[in-house]
Amino acid sequence: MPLLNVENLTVRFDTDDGPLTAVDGVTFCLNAGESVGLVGESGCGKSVTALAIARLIPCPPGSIESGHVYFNDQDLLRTDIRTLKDIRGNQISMIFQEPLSALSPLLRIEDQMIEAVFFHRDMSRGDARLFVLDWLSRVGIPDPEERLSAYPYQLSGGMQQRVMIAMALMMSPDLVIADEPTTALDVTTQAQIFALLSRMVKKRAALLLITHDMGVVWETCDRVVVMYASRVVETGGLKDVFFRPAHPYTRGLLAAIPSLSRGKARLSEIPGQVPSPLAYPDGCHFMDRCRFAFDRCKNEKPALFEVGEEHMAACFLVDQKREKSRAVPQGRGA
Amino acid sequence: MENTSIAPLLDVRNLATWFYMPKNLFSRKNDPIRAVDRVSFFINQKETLGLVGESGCGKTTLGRTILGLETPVDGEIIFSGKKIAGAGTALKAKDEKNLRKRMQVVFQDPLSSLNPRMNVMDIVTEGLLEFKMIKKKERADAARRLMGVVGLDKDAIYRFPHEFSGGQRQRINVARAISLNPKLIICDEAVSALDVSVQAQVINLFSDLREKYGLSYLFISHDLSVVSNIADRIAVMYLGRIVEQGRCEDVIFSPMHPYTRALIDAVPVAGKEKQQKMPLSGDVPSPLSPPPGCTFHPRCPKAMDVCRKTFPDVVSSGVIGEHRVACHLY
Ligand SMILES: Nc1ncnc2c1ncn2[C@@H]1O[C@H](COP(=O)(O)OP(=O)(O)OP(=O)(O)O)[C@@H](O)[C@H]1O
Ligand SMILES: Nc1ncnc2c1ncn2[C@@H]1O[C@H](COP(=O)(O)OP(=O)(O)OP(=O)(O)O)[C@@H](O)[C@H]1O
Ligand SMILES: [Mg+2]
Ligand SMILES: [Mg+2]
Repeated sequence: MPLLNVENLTVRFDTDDGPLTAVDGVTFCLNAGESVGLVGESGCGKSVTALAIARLIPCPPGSIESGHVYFNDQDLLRTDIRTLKDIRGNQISMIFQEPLSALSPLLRIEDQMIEAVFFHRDMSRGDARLFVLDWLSRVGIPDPEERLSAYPYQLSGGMQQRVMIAMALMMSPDLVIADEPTTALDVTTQAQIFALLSRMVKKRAALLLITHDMGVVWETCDRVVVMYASRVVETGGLKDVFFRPAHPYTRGLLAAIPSLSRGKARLSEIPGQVPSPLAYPDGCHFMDRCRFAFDRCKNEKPALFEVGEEHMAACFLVDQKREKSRAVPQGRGA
Repeated sequence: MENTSIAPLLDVRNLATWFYMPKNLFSRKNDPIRAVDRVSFFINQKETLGLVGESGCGKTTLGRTILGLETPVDGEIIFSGKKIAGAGTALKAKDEKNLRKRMQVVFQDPLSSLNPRMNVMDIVTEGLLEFKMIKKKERADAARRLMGVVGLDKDAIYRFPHEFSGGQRQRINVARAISLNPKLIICDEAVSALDVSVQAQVINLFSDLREKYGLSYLFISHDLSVVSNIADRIAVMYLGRIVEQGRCEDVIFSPMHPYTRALIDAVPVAGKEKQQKMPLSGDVPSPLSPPPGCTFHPRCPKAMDVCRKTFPDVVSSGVIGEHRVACHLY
């Protein structure tokens, strides 16, 4: 049984320009102790998916139209708010892109961390302080005693993110959701944070890592979920997706990324651009940019079809191939 | 290309651009921020120099100084054989205008650098009109031609910036930049805000235009992967200084400076065999109070005593000395 099971999640927003579907029938799961990368381009619905899992979508303008988010078999979309609040922070914790927006600017590091401890645990202030101090040194903050009395803005971006990681992990959650935790940071700091995150999360918790950087996914995750324009287009094990991508978008994406090992070979382009979320096509959302598109793609949204073991792609090409291979033995029999 | 005796298109020597902060409670002394400090490099005709480094290391300031938007405190800039900045330079208004024609810039944020109230035709032909290179009635034709060059719909010239996607807006910026047939384009994080699938399109556009018009680029980016795809040579900057520069392959595949190594090591490469990484410790120090000696020494795994005291001279290696590093190890 997976730790987290997201089924058919659909989230809509009412905007000034009309209603838009930010997340459309998203389905994936995450096993205990596993790291899963959720990737896709800007606006494809990664953050909304994460927020919906923790039921943090602002409603209105947002609304969760349908779906289930089973966490340890409990549907988070249908639990009462008290249980939910206890699960958040205690069993599920989140790390956001902008640590400053998640930390209160008016509270010293000590006070915000201790407050979080008190919310979930019965502890004396002295014990809580020691507990927090221990976590700060575990995430590699030099002079933790001194940093305790600092305000968030007095710490560098990398240090702030370390504090966030400590806060996310100190309650020993089963699941950590990290939404672009290093986008605001420099590469060398990013490398530090990922080394830390992988080391800290490993075996302790499952990780849902949201990023648009395929390299980061490769180095941190066990499995990948690729989203495109509000829908999941491919999911699978790391090597399956990177070496045997089945969806034309995943293939195009992997070929379009400049990489240090690739040298100056001309990058392959995905023609066109991501459609506006206000006007996604009726059929496959990738249809307009896909050179394999055929009639069926125009009228029908592809479900996730099985490519291989635990490897799925939302593409009718996969379905076709599957039907053909199924058709062969039948033909022989006749 | 390296053996040509032709003078480089852009020659920057010992350039320094400092900022003086107003005195306040915290800083009694009036120490400057040495945003760019004793920087030397050149760019040949039809060549792309990639400039990489982490946030705040001075890349944008360097670009702005070359464009004449900041005044250097020291050093000189020679462009097309003419001194355009440095002691004793007094550009006439005409020269300055001419310079602007031959040196253009494309910034990171495509929307904020486009006037929202101008349509695309007006945006991309503004310079042409100003320099009287076309007549007013030729505007639409010129705009259509430029749109074609950057791969945009030629009939979209009456539309406004907000009606385009990020990648398309960046193409509009590029169309405007090339409209005056410049020699050099400074691209400051020009593809950083774009999604991967669109980023490849714009990178390829830059490459195509270089072939077509013989352009040179100063390609500024914090993304080493992007730079390695487009640059002939790479310069690595740390806290205001260029610590290493050389041919792209040399810098990427045989980096010399420990910072360059760390930078390359820190870039996650999809599909490459994973290896144990040794991330750098610590953060980039504040440029207001840089460490003494080599400014990288507090984070350097190979720091020696001398590194804490003096900033290393630049040494050259390689047959033609085009791989240069500022490090006491060499
Ligand atoms: N509060 C909101 N009100 C209206 N629309 C919203 C809101 N939040 C998100 N959206 C829309 O939902 C869609 C998905 O947004 P989301 O933030 O999930 O993208 P993302 O994949 O996280 O992108 P990025 O990589 O840029 O962070 C976008 O079209 C966005 O404009
Ligand atoms: N007008 C200014 N006044 C004072 N300090 C400045 C000014 N412009 C830049 N600086 C400082 O100079 C240093 C270099 O800044 P610069 O913008 O050139 O860096 P950068 O390498 O372009 O960084 P990024 O990658 O974040 O764009 C920074 O410490 C910055 O704070
Ligand atoms: Mg997001
Ligand atoms: Mg900059």
